[in-house]
Amino acid sequence: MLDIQGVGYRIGKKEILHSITFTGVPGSVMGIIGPNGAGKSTLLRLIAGDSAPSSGHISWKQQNIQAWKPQIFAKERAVLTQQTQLSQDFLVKDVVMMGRYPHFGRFPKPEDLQIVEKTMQQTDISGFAEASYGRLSGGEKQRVQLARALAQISGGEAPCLLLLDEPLNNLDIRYQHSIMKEARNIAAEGHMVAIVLHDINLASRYVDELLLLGQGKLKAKGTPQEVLTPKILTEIFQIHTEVITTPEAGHPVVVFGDPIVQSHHIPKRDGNDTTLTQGSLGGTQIRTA
Amino acid sequence: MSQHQKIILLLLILTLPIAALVACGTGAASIAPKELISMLGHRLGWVSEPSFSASQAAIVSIIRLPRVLMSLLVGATLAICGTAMQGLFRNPLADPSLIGVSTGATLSAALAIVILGPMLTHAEAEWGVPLLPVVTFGGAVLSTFLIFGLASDRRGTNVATMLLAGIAINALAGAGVGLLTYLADDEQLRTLTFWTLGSLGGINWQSVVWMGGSLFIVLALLLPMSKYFNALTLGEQEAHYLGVPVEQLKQRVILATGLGIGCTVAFCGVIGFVGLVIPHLLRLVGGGQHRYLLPASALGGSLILCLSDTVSRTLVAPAELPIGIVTAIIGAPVFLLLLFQQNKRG
Repeated sequence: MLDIQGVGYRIGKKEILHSITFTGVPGSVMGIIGPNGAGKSTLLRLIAGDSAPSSGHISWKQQNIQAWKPQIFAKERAVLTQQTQLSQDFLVKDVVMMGRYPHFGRFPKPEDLQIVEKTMQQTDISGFAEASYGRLSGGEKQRVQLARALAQISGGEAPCLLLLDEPLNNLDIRYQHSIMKEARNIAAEGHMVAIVLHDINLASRYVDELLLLGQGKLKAKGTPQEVLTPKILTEIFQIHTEVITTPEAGHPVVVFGDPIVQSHHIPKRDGNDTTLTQGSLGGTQIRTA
Repeated sequence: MSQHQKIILLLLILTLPIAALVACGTGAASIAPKELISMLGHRLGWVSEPSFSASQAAIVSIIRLPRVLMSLLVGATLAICGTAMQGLFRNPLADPSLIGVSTGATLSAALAIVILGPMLTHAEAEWGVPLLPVVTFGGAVLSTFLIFGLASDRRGTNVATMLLAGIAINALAGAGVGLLTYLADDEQLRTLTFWTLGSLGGINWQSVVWMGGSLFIVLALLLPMSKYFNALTLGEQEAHYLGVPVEQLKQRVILATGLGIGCTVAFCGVIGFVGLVIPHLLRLVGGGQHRYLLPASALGGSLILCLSDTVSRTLVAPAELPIGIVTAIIGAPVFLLLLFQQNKRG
């Protein structure tokens, strides 16, 4: 299990994270949401073991993350970052095979080949296994990278740790949902999944527990029902928010209005000035996300 | 490794002995392949009746063979170090000269030639040690460590800083060499040209043994790293997530390149182009998988340098062209052609 106790992180004098405490349970999907610069990716990178927190500690299976040997930890946790460019071209199946690198010496075992096959099917990329990675579209590259991360934690003993940093970039709506479903499947196998997400409604629908970060602090945590309230979302995202719960959806749906503007006068395109009052939905221009 | 990559490797392995045989037979005194094979057989005790003359045997064993072997060893070293550099810097334009090995070595050679001058020949006559290669190798290793040190702190080595530091040191050393050419007299200038444009003339069995030893170490350091080089194309952080000991890999590559390139410059001067273009060519035809690319570069580098050296010593015989000119003339058009073809396909 993932245990995060009073974790803070600073670069020079700048405090990026302040006293974050929570635990993650294997078999569950945890979503991390918050505005830009809230420290979501930093938190994920600390969990990944990139650098040590400035204060507090993070442990996985009762052992400090920093004390794990990198080669051993690589069999336990996989990370999908927002970086999808390769400096050289490879075949798609070769990229997915990189996920198996921690598991074999110089040559892949039959088991590794099987796992690569399986994860390519899971992410729906088997069709271009033999294609060259450089020629894929952004969304396809994203799925190949996800397959690589899945391959890295497959075949071993649960629980493993899967960390996804905005995995839905460049994906159309169908794949956004299928990847979130895939994350649920991984959790169902007994692994622990943590996902940094921008789309609050996707988070609401698919995660078990939500962490809401704002300015480096943990502002709220709990189930989507507990965390997603208009008051706190409006405060943290600085945008007028309404939350509706539909019986068929079974999870909160967040509806956003206009951003809260610091100066109260905003010139409109048609020349009429409109005055906004804080705390109300910005008129009729409600967009559903 | 795919079938396609295996075929390329096999082709290279088959072409290499043929090229070496042709190279051994070509020159002022032409020797037919049949005679060469009989020489080899005689040496191994398989053939009792020699079908070659004693003078032919002497030409091959004293002049041609060490030179051809040297071209194979130097070519392999240059190309595999180029591949490793490009992998480490994640940049297809990286080249061993980037970490200042070549220019650092050239500067120290130039300093030795111009300032120590007559002392060099004196030292060789006196102690039997060729001082120039020793000084050059020292310069190569020193500049490598300087740049590596500039780019490292306690968190590790920043390859971007290393690249920039390398460019700065290169410029500085280049200016130093330029300055020394003004001070040099005619005789020294000729020696300097040898160093800056490269040549395999003046090779003996001793240098072949040294170069062979260095190549062996370079291969032992780099070939087992193919998996790590592949992972590094994802980025340093991603490679770390895959359990790649990135810092250790950097140190290995620096060590291998400092040693390998230091030796080639010490014995043959600066031979450009091979380290940059051979890896590229092989990537274009076979892809970026390092399990294929590392051995293929070593073989491809050997092949190109063996052919280039044969051309360099026969084209304007009895004089010799600097080999750097030949590698550029042979390699650049081929490279451009492949690049053009790929763009047309893409």
